[in-house]
Amino acid sequence: MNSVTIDLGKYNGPVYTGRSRGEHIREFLALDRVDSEHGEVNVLIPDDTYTVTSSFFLGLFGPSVVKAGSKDAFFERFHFKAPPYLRPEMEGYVARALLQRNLFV
Amino acid sequence: MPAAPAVSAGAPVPSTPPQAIATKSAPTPDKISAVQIPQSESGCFVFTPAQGVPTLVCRPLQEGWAGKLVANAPSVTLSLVALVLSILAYRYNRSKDQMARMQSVNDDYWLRKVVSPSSIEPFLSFTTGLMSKLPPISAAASTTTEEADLESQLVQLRSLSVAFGNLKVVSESLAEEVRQHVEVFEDRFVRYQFARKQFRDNGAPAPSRPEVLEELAAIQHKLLLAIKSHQTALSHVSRKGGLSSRLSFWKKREASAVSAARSGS
Repeated sequence: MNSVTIDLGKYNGPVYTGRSRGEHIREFLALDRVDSEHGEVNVLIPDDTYTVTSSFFLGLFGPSVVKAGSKDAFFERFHFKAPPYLRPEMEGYVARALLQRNLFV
Repeated sequence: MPAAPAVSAGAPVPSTPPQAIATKSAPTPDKISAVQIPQSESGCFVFTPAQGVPTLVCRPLQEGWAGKLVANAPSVTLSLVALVLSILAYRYNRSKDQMARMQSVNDDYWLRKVVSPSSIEPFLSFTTGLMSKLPPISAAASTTTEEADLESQLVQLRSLSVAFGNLKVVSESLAEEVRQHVEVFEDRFVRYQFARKQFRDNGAPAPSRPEVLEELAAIQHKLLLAIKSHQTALSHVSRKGGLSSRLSFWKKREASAVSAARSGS
């Protein structure tokens, strides 16, 4: 099982915004293939990150969240090393992705 | 002449022999003479009774069905036209009622009574307030209160984004389009706050508050316009004729809105 490391420091921080930017990075890293192979992903978010907005996060990880099906399953495969103040925000983004997937389906 | 038989009292009176009736004089028969009536296609004759006024009797010539049809064509045509119009009017009214019902359910109830109070109105109120209180460019260090305010504003914005998910009840494409606008609003707001921090902490170029305000207002306007366009499309669909054309119009609108939302991101 391959593991992938994503270092957001390489992608023009410290403000990470824009869904298209997140989708572009996802495509660049071929995360769809990683998801299909159930590979693990280590995500490094620099300490000087100002913020990661929901649009960027969901553009980058949204499909992986939906594929995982639950917050626990997602964080089992995606290991985040991030400033403490970002963790609650990211958990909120994951919950939102799952909620919007389930609404009126 | 033979002598009449003797009649005894009480005996029935014999009837007059037939030869006695024949002795009366015969009446003059009625005359029927065929008279040619000029410029008339009817067969006419004059009936001259023995007593009375001569009478002109005309009988119409025998006509085929084609002749009858030609004579009755205007009224038959009008009747057929009226029948067709009645059928079309019934179908139109029925489909119009169905579309009005759909519009009432989607627009009047779901959009106006459910989604709008829970997401559209709070979003409008919140973003208008946020723009009016957008902090100016300042070299002063940010306070704890300012940081907390920023965090709470972002939390509120994200909760509004979740609330807009209810729009999926009305239209998936509209929900997607609105979600895009909310994300763009959040991104622009965050980038402004970061630019202020960079100016304050590192002497980076100051962002333009009026420019940001204009951009945020434009995003808010686009979001409201998307909802308005959806409502307008509902009324347009109800006015067009034909159920199949209405369904295809609806599908085209959905597809174009989704592609516009995707290209906008």
